[in-house]
Amino acid sequence: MQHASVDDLIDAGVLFCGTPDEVYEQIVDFCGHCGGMDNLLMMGQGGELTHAQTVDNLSLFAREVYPRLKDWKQPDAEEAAKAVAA
Amino acid sequence: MRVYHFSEQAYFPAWDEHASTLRVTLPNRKCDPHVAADLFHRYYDEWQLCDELGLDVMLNEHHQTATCMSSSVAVGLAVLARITKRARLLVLGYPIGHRPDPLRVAEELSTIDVISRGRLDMGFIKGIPYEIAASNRNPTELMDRFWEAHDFILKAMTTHDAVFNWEGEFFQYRQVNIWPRVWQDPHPPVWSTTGSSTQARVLGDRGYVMATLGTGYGTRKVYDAYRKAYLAKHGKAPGADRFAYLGLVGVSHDREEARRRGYLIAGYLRTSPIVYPPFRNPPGYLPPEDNANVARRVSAAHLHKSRQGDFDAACQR
Repeated sequence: MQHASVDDLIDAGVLFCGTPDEVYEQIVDFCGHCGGMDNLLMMGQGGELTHAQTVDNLSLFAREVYPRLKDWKQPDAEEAAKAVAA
Repeated sequence: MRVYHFSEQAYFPAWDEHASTLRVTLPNRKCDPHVAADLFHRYYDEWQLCDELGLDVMLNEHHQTATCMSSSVAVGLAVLARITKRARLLVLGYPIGHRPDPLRVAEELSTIDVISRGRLDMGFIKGIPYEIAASNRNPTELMDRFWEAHDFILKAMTTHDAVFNWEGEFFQYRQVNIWPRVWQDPHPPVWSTTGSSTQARVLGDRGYVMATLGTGYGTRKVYDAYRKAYLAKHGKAPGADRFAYLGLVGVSHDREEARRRGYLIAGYLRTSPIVYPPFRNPPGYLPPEDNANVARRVSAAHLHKSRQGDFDAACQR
């Protein structure tokens, strides 16, 4: 991952990146793939991202992505467990 | 879903002068304390903003590095417990196997749980290999120390009516009776991290919240190992609230700006592995079977590279 491009990181599910709609879709796709995940540890600031960029990044996420994630229905836990028990 | 904002509180001004290592041996002469102060205040301001925005907060610690200035989670948690009002405060994590004194850890975390009025999430971790050089622990016994410290901390947090005595392999205490006692009953939620199915089974058995860090679409395999162990122990499926994932997030209405943000945040991934090789995998840190897997992967990659080199040379000929 050290030398991966932005696209590589998005494809790998390491970076959720784009417009609010795109970020929302990437996150729920990822959660669905995992069979459910209810705690996103969001690195919303890293390295040389400026304070102004960070404030906007966090604010936009909180305003336009997070409410939809709260409403999103997680995959059925029993179904996910059944698949591994089989 | 809950969302915790995480920053490593990097000292990025030193990233360009690292001479092949950003960890352990990078001289702290490269850290200007005036710049560090400005950065710390800025990072705490950003976490305080999260509190106002309805996001939760996560912090961690590393040692002797320009990638992460937070070298004591207790310090960061103490600041955050006072300046935030609503956010959950997740420490992920506290490398308790490295600490000389788990009684002190139990006292710190209990106090933070009380000051924050019950907002602490308590992540205990093994710690990455580079921390061994800073803590001077014996890597072969790190996990045994970890679990004994874990057991002790939970017992100290849940014993309220009498003092107790602890005679462990690594820690011995008389008259244990921590003040203040924790706010959350019976204790703050326990979290941990792993990328391995073996450790996921251990965490599933205990029912702790399990986080994987940047494991991408390989995450399902680790989650399923947890599910299997949880189901076997608890007789029901683990809810989605048992799972956490660390991902980078760059968002903007302007697609190019979002990509710029994603690229800058990924500076974390580009700089984290810059460390002098002898610190990367100290003997005894990984179990023998994991070291064998690493050796196989390195060997296969080397063989592939050699064959590719032969192929390229043949093409040139």
